[in-house]
This record gives sequence, structure tokens and C-alpha cells, in this order.
Amino acid sequence: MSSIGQTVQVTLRLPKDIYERVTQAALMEQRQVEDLLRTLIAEGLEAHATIRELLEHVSEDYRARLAREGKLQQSSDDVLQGLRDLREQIAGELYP
Amino acid sequence: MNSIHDGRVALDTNVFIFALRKEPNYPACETLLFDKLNALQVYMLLQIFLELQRNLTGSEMRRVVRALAMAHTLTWDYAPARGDLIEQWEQRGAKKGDAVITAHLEAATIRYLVSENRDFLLELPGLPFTVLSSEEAVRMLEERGS
Repeated sequence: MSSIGQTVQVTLRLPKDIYERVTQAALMEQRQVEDLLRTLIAEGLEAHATIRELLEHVSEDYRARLAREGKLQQSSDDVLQGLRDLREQIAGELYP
Repeated sequence: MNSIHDGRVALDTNVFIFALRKEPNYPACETLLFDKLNALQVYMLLQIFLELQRNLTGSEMRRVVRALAMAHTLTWDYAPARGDLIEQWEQRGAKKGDAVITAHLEAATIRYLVSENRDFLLELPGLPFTVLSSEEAVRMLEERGS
């Protein structure tokens, strides 16, 4: 039976300076500390992954997010046009 | 130096996005990024970094950056592009965003841009670099057995 999607509760003791860095980062990213800790642990586990393993995980998260946002079914032409528009927008901001 | 093996290569934002989306019309984007990155000497410029940042969450971006660090070599260039070169490429018909990319690559003498954006080829004759599709880039890498 797959454990994907299941959660377990863990009590964690952290050095205070690490905890303060996490709370600061969570504040900057406007996220819950628990949510950021979950991400950081997952990212830590990926530290020794191959490029493909690492990017497969990113792709999985990205596609899930696009699906939630209703953007996964966008045609490739629409994606390209969106990227062209974004390029013009950023260039306009950087080089007014 | 006349091959993608020997020189620095810029990867356009669309290559990253199509690879991560697993876009069926551009499967070579995934192959290039997921399986061939360690053979590439990647040059990342400011404009493309910002475009990626606007498309990805903080966590997604950090992990893409970590993957990029596993390229054969990786150069980050956060300097803005030269204004005179941007103006010059705009006068030659480039949209501003494409002029920025072109100016940046010209100043850094980058030989290859991998992109699925055909605008570069249609709007700009005499580019100082070669635009390759992901498919062409993968083929070039596989010709040398990477």
C-alpha cells in the first residue's frame, strides 16, 4: 500500500537559531512555519537525488499546482504566448 | 569551439516550463533538462531567471536552481543587459524582451540559445548566436554520445 498522501505527526526539537531562521523565512514567504518545515525536509531529502529525480519531483508539484489553478490544459501555443507577454512585461520593468 | 559540447549555452524560459509541464508537443525539453543537463555548460541570465521566478513558487525555484547546479558548468549573470545593445536590436526589429536576451548573449559571447520561441528566427536576421530547438540540442549532444 502506498504511503503517498498519508501524514504522520512528528514532534521536533530544533536549535533556537535554526527555528528563528525558519520563522523568518516563513514570514518572508507568507507561509505557515509547519508548511515551510515540511518543504525544507522534503528538499533536504532531495539533496542527493539525481537531476531527473529532483526535477521529476518539481514537475509533479508544478503540474499539481497548475491543475489546481486550471492551467494544466493550456495549449503549448497559449503557454508560449504567455511567456512572450511576461518577457515584454519584465523587460519593460527592468529597462523602462 | 563549434559545438554545443564546447561552449556555454543559454536555455530559454520556455524550455524549463515545457520540461516541467511535460508538454507532449515538446518532449525534447524534458529530455534536455532532465537527462542532458550534466553535459551542458549553462549560462543563466537575469531576464530568464526573473521569468522563471514569476512562473514558479519559491520551493519549485530553489529545486530548479539546485538541479542547474548539477550542470557540467553553470554561470549566473545577474548584470543588466547593455542599453546600447538593446536599443540596437530593437532598431533591427526585435521586440524589447527579445532584444534584451539578444543583447545579453551578444555581450557574453554565448554561441547557443535553446528555445522553442521561433520569434527569434523570424524577427531577427544576423543573430550573433545560433537558436536551437530542444530537439536539435538533444540530437547534437547524442551525436557525441552524451
